[in-house]
Amino acid sequence: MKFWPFHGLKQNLTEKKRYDTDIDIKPLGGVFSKSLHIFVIDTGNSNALNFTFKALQSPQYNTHRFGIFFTAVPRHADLLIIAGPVNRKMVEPLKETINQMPNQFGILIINGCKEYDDYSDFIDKKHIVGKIDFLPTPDEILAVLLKVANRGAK
Amino acid sequence: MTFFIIAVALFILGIVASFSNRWGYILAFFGSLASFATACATFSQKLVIYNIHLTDSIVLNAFLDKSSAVFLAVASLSWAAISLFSIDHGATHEKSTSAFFNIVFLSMLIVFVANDSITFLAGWELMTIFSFLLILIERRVPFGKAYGFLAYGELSALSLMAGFAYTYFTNHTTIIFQNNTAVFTVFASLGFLIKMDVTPFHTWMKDVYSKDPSNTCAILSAPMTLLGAYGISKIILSSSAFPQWWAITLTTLGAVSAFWGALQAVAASGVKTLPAYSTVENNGMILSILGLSALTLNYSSLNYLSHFAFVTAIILIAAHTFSKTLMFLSIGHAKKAYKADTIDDIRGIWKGVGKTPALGVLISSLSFSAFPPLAGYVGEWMLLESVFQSYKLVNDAEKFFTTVSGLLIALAIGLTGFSMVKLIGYTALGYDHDKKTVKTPSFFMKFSEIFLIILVILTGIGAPFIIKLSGYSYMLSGALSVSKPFLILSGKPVFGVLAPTYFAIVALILFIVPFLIYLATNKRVKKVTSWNGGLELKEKEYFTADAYSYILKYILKKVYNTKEIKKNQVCSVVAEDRMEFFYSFFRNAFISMGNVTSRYLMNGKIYIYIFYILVIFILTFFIA
Amino acid sequence: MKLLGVVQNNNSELCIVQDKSMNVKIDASCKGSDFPNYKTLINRDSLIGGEAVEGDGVFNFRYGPVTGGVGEAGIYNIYTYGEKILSVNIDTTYKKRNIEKLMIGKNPLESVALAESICGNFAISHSIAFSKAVESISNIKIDDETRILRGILLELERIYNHIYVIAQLANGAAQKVLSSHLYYLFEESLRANESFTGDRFLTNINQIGKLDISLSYEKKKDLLLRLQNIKSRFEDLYSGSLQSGNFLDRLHNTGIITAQKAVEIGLSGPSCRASGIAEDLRTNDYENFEVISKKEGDSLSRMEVRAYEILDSIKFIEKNVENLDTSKEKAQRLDISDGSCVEAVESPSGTMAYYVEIENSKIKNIYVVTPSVTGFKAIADSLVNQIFTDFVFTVESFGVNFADAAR
Repeated sequence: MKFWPFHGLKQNLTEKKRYDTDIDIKPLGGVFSKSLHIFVIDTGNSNALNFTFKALQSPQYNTHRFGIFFTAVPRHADLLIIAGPVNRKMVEPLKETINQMPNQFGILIINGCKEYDDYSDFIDKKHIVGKIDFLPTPDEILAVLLKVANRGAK
Repeated sequence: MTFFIIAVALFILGIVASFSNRWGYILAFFGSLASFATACATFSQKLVIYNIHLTDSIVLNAFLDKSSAVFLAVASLSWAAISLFSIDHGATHEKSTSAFFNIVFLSMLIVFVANDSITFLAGWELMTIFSFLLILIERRVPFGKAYGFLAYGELSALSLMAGFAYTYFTNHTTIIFQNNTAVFTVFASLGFLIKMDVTPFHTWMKDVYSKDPSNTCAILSAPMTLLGAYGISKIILSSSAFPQWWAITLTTLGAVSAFWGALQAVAASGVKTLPAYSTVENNGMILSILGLSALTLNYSSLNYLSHFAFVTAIILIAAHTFSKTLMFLSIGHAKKAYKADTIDDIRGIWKGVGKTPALGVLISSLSFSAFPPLAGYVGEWMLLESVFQSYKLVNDAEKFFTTVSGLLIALAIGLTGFSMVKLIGYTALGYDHDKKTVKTPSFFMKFSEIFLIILVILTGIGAPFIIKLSGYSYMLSGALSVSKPFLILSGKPVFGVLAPTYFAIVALILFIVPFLIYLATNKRVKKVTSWNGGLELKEKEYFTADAYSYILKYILKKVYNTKEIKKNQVCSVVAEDRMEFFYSFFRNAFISMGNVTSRYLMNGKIYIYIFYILVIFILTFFIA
Repeated sequence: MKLLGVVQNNNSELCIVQDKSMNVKIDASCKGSDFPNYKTLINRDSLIGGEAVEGDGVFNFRYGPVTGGVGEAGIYNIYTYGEKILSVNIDTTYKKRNIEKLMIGKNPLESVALAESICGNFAISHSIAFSKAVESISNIKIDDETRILRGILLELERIYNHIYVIAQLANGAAQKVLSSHLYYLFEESLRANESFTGDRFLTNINQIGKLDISLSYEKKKDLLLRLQNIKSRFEDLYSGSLQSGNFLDRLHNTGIITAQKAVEIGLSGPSCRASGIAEDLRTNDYENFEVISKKEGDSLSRMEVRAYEILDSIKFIEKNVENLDTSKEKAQRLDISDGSCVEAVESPSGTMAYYVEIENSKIKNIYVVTPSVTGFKAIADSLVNQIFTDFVFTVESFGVNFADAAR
């Protein structure tokens, strides 16, 4: 039997590298620079984006070291990520989710799959911090999140 | 004396004025206030009402002393609140309902002052019969179900009669509560504890309470069970020794009853069945602590504990009476608005009906769950403190049974918290889902609820004052920077201390005032509905009260005899009160005792019952 | 015989069935309503699972459509009177994108990307099943190299999906160390995909009649190295996980699907093999293919089947990747003929089949058989009479997706 915590520490799985991106982002900054809590809502993506977010939570990226956490409820979040084009049936749940966000929040739209319809027109522009039009890799998402938190390139 | 005469006159006037329910209730309210004034006046001077020697042995004697006055004061405040509440609530009731209210209050008043068996039984029988008719008059409770109340009421009366008759034949006097014999003690206290709805004599409550108007339930549950406790207290006060085995039985039976009531309250899904079982639980606790007081009566070294246990009973009785009246009245208020019966259907009183009844349910539930510094908290703290001192007892059997009783009571207190969450979380503060409520005049209802809320809070905070008033000021002290009369001592030498008044002050400064300031100043809070996965919660998606208590019903399958029923696509869980077995056993025995009797008694014709009642009434006089 | 799908065709119903020798075909002699899973397949676009339950204290414990736990947009309607689950039905419509409708009227050559976007984590399965159907209609012969490379891609997809499922199970059981290491392997396997094919989810590689990929010696070497790393780490973690009583307790006897039930539902893939039915479409494609199966049919055996399949897939890739030679540029004639055909592949979660009808080089009718529909039905059925705590272990162990089921 292995003593797993030590085994894990020995592996040194976290990668140390620069996360940088050219994507145009309006940073939230302020109090969020050291702690950014994120809620991801699936509005009808092809699941590749969902898997990318799961991959982002793997030890390689170790988002917690940047103060980036994923929440289970929008009420605890500072940033709402809309993953995928907005399905017609997801409009109501999305409206309710945005309604539940505490004030002073940002919305990041990732529209990875352009093949099908998008009903995201109703979203208030003032909250939108950025838009990604392709399927990003976890590296790119992390870079974007760091930019949203206004931590500068790390 | 003046107040007493006014009270009696007002009640009689109320009976006469029954052509208008409204006036009947108003007169009952003032009659209750006069009764309260009577009790207050008695604190300074004993009140003798009459003392008539018919023959050498047959004496009619009625007086009110200091110890009875405490009970009368508590009961009369409850009457006052109930009759005030009924001015609005009872407007739509049957015409003569208010007359029955007045008769029942008057008969209770007679019981409080009675000191001879004839007056006592007259009051007792009047109370039983007219409260039975009060149950029937609204024609909501089926006769067969209401019959349980009368059956136990008469059983109680019979037991009392036996005790009184024995006293008459041994002491050759109708004066009771002096020179108590063991036989009298056993029979009389059995009669009283039946009236307290202690397990297994509680089985009629479930059906009657769920259907009856809430003000009637409040009478049955609060002041009437108080009379049972009053009777036992009276026996203890007038005895210098108590049969040991009987005291142990009372303690244990009370604890079992407390545990059983709490257990059934957890499973209850009716909004009035739950408080009904809570009554069983509270009266169990009261009986248990009275039993402990009686048990320690036999030891001169445990004088302090005996008295402390007795004071505990008084505080518990006051806490129960006020809180239970408040609970039934608030629920009745909500029930009138929702026209529904179950906890699942009566939700969110705060938003749907009003803040006052919601606060009523909240405060009473918190009091029952022993939330400091409310009345129930002080009572239950004192109760546990008394039972903790059971190690001071000498006899092993006594030690064993009191310890087991303490265990059961502690479990019961815990379970009460579990069940009261249902009333707090669903009924008082839950989501009402914009249910339609009926608007009714509610000024007097709100007034009486606020009155009771204040009483429940004051009974807790002012517990030292009540102890002082009952004549036990030596249990109060001052230490640990608490000034003189505000510290309750549970034992001598010091065992445990509590200062509810100071607690309230500290809580007010540290929690309530900052919270109110926060509420008043903080306007930046964003208010949204609860988060339910992005969609609005539909009516059928609400986490039901049954689902809340399912886990306990499942774990205690054997106790509740839980059955999961599944028919096609309809499912439900059925849990039963196994004590109902006793009632059905007795009833079946009674029915099979003689076909003839049952044919005449159970044929559902109302005049035969009235005839039977009259016969019993007359018989009572003859036997007494 | 197993009913896989019911195609609506000119007011008549065509049954897609899988026969005894594991061939997926249209059988005109079958009547759909004879099969026990007919109703599920017909209603797959509304509600999958049991019927609603009523009664005193019974309520619908709705889970979704926006949740932190499931992550995907979809609703689990759990009918319960507290703790015990009485009936479950699953609403996949929140993920409905009508991709089949988008494909109709399009040239098949342009529709591969749409097929891939049905479910991102089963992209290559969808893509290959679709192109196989189009290829057999148009009689396009693919060479051995492409065939083997497609097999390798399918195995790559299987590896990352299986690791993901086991990681999700570990995460559900709060085995944080195990799940973190497994998520590490999950990310590593996605990176292996990227370094080998240029895409993390293996999209935009497969096309009708060919694969758009160039393999160098370094790429193959790199893939083998990465797979070796994944294999040794996974074996270590997996044997460690089997020593944790807490973890196994959660999975053992949870979400049981018996062999009979599996047949009734029409279940396929690892979940079916865990119930004791040794069915795998790959037996027709490869010689001496050994099917992994378990008997118990609970979440634990589903996890075991997936774990062994990861190792087998790695072995398969190791055996075949060395001899691959894609450097030869082959001129392909790509003429789309008219006709209809159904073709299937073994996706990570079960049988994936495409029925395609082509008229005038345009898709006229298309029906996609996805393993997630039967998988959701199995989830709904196996949750009945379990308690809430078993929910996550049952749901995750089937490895199905709303995106896949809703299309």
